[in-house]
Amino acid sequence: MIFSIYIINKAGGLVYNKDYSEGLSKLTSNEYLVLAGTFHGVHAITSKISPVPGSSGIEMLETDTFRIHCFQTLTGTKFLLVADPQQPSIDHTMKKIYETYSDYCVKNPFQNPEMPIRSEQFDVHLLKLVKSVGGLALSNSNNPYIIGNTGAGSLQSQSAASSSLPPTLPNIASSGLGLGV
Amino acid sequence: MSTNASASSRLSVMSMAASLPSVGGYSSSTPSIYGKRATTNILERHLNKTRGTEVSVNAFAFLFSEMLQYTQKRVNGIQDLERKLNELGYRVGIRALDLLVWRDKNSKRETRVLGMLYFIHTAVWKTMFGKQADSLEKSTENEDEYMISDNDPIVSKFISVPKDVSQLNCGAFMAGIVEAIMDGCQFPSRVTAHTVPIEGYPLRTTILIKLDKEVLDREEQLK
Repeated sequence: MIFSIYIINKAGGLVYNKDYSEGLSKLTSNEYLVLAGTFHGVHAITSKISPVPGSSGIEMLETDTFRIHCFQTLTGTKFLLVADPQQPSIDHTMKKIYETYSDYCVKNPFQNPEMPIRSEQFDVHLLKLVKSVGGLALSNSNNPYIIGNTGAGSLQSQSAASSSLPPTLPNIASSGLGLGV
Repeated sequence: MSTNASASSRLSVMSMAASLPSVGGYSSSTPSIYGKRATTNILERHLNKTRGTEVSVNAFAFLFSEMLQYTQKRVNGIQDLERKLNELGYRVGIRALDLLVWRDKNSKRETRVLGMLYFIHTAVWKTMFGKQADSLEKSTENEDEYMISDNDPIVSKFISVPKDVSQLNCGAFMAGIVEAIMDGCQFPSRVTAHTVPIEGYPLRTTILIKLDKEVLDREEQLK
């Protein structure tokens, strides 16, 4: 299950954010920016404090209920993927996200680099990608990681499903930041 | 006679290449000191050999994106931008026609409109975009209008047009190519591109070809 995707530009600004699960409580747009900026800072610090020279920054941040995966491109753009701890083949998904980004953002003449991403085709293809890796909460009836969600219609199974995906965004933000600071 | 001439000109190119120092990997075929030749220089390559000489879609997409950004800075308004794109396409088309006619050994000169359009629909599209166009239709409203449609045009594959310039169709570039080929074959016409999305193909582009009156008059005589 994939909860959210964020893209942070090389200056630490949030250029794209999208949630793919319904149960998440929303942050204000300002809080999203703060989250992105803070992660950018933490990422820079972690790469500096490493005893091994030339280390990459933080790659994964783990809690009981979710993981934040980070992938930094050669040009300094960071992709953050908030996912279920059991979500398989994150590396592959990350690569596909990068591919989608380079196809529909970098090659789009109307998309300025380092600016907020407004590209319809990017949205469409990213959604398709998240669906294809079983990332959507809406289509989780065939997701083996959600136990007790056999019938999407019944109220009981729905509550079971929602209790098994507890991370709400404030959770993610506070624990993520807490660990960083 | 002509083969002799071309052979000697080929030789002179090769001897020039041999006498010039190679410039930073630009010419990979310059004979090295070991006398080996890795690949053939694009200038020495035979024009009729097309296998393995295709250009990557990504390389094209980057180039086209830069062309659009360059043009966008130098125009006022969308109409102007489309006109410029059309001009750029025209320059491509006039050269492509030359190459196509050279490659197609049994080609005859098309004298009828339908044959000409079919040539564009198949041969031109195949050479330029690696597939045939998806449809060739005659307008039901106007006698002088024909339409060639491409369900998934390579030109706008990676492009999302923002809302404020939503009337823009990057297919204007393709329209320019078609216009050049029509012009070059003595079928002067006005060619424009329009987005006509259908179910499953949101990028579907129709190239509208409006023939000049003289073409229709000639067509009438040939009947």
